[in-house]
Amino acid sequence: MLNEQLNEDDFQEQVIHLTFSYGKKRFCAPVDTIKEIVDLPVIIPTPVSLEHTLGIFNLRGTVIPVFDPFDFFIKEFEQRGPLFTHFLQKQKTRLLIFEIKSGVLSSIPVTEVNKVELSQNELGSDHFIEINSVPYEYFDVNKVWEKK
Amino acid sequence: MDDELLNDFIEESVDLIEKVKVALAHWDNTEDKVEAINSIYRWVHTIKGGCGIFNYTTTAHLAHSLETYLGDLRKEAQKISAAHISHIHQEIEKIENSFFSQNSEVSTSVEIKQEPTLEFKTEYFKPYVDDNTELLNDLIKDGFSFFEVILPKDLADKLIEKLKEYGFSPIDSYEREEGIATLCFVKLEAESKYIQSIENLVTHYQGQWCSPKPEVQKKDVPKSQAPAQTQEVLRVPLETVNSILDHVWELFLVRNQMNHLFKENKNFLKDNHAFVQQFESLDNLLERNIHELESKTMSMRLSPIKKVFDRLEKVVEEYCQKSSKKIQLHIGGAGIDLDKKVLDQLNEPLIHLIRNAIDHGVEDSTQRIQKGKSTNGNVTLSASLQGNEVHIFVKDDGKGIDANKILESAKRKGLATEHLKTEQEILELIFASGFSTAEEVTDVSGRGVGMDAVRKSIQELGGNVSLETKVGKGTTFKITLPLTMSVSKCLIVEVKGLEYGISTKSVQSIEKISPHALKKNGVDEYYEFHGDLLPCYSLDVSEKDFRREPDLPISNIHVCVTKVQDKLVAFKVDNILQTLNVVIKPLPTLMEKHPYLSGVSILPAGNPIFILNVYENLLRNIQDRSGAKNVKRTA
Repeated sequence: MLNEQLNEDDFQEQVIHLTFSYGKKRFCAPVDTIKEIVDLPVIIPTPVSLEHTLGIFNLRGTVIPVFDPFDFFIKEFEQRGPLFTHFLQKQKTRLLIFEIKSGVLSSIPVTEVNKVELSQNELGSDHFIEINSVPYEYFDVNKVWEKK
Repeated sequence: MDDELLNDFIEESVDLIEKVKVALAHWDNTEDKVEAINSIYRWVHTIKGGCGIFNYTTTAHLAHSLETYLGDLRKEAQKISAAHISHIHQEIEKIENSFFSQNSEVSTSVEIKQEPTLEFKTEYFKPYVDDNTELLNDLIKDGFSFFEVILPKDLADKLIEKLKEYGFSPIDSYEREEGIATLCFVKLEAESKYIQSIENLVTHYQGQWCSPKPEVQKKDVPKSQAPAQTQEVLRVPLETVNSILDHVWELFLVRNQMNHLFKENKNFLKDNHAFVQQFESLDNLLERNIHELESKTMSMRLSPIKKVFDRLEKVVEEYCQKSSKKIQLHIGGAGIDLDKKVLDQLNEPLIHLIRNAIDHGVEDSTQRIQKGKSTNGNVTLSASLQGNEVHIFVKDDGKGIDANKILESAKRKGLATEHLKTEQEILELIFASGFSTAEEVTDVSGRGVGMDAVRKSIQELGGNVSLETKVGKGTTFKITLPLTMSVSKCLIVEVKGLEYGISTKSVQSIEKISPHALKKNGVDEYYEFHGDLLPCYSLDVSEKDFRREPDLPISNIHVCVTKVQDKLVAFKVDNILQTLNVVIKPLPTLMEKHPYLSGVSILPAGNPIFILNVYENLLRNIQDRSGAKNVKRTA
């Protein structure tokens, strides 16, 4: 063992990320940007059309908005009306809660949440990450909400 | 009330002194030095004002000196040097030391235990009073009054029995030559229905009401002997209070869920009566305790606006004592509860507005009489809730603001005025920093510090201040603030399958009717209300229908009557589910604002709801529907 050539990667710090599917796309985000993952609660839909907003839910006394920043769910939301939550439940959807800045929370509906450890090398500098030869778009919370 | 105001003033002044010190400590790193020195100036101005009201004379003088120094300094903020900062630091320390030494004088000034403040017609009760000083003092503090009468010996027993029937036991009696001298106490407001009988008795038997003496002598005692302050105050970070409130609500939801679980399984437990009874009893106790906890925690966040209004009353009182002007202050809407953070920041701007109204607005009595006005000037301070906003008005019936004078003053000061076209634009100049048309600087106002500070403070709260004025008639300042958090009684209504909250203040009357009872004219609907036809609108918040069966006809609807732009209108909802006190919070930060949505709340069952701005919704409806007026019955 002592004679083996040690790989540079062996010295890299591993950063925990979560991969998830949001809409039909796969994303990856550092775990420290994610405040909580909750099972799908009762989502009260917004009565009027608000940009990128599906509704609100109650998390231990705090009202948190459910967003759809890339408008993946907008059609289902409009078509299904009161059955939209049921539709999400069937998909085994959970809510990923982000803290954008102190006390400002938001959430998105996601599926297939998994934990993965990535080194700095693997993270690279592009907006996408390759994990086991599968591309994942990097989900930068601040940039997503800055644009919206 | 005065103790509470004094405590608030002390807390606020400590905060302001600390703010000044922090600003000075960070002076070198401050980018906007103009703003920083202006802030320090405003804080010192506020400390000075408060000291004046509460007779912290020495501190007020020191603050006045520093204010003058800062006033000169802020004209050239960029040239402020380390020497200036050092001087300000020294002065603020003097103010702090003076403040605390005067504060401790106030707290060590104790009331000497004297005889209870009862003035007797006779000397009969002096021994009793001497032996029961503390008790009598407590009773007086609790609002009890005392009367003494001399009852004829033959009737004394019967009359004393009568007094006992009224609920008043004599606390002391002596037999004298002239009769039985009897001392009784009574709490007037509690037993008001008997007061006339008591009055007759007292008059008939040559008795008297023993009134409290007007003054109690105060004597300074060494600090070591001073009694501890009766009210302890603990400063708690806002975040902690918010966190406690969140946990209380979660507790409430868990309790509801347990209750729900119990009800669902009650059939299985029906044979176990003892368990069911005990559970229900404990559940009731839990619910009561949670409500109590919620109420106490909410009281940490919310405070009645009355506290601010009471302080302003003192400002006016103090002014009237020093000035020849007579001012009548009228107050309305003091029952509204607001976030304490908002109230703390409202103090300063409202004091400025009131001071401006009484100093610059209201004329003296001679001028008022010449103009055919009442001798007393009138200043009205009022607050009201309108949708998701609080409106606060400061109105005077004084001389109004002359736009021409504003323009002249602006030109003299070298301000740009060419772009100003309308009178309103000219009037807006009064909010410019350092702008003042006052011929002299008085102790009350005229330093031009008020209006720019007012606008800035209100804007920091997310609100705005505007004015309306008429020369010779008076001026009204209107402060509009968004509601950050409030407890409001709400109707929980259902519209197209979704639940909403509507403030009960929006609704004058509710009636459950069949949809066919509405009168139609094409697509327009009308509701008959006390002989008048009111236009009836759908509360069309949602474009989508969230009902499970949207095609199912509705057998009954609820029609509510409200006022929009001083006219009665009606609106319909599918169902009214309940009335609740709810905590209205603003929409989550990242959510787009919409005029129909005032905020959000959480129902006891745990689901969140949107709170509707009925006023805005109906206003839009009214604008869409053209030409509709109330139709009068002709037959």
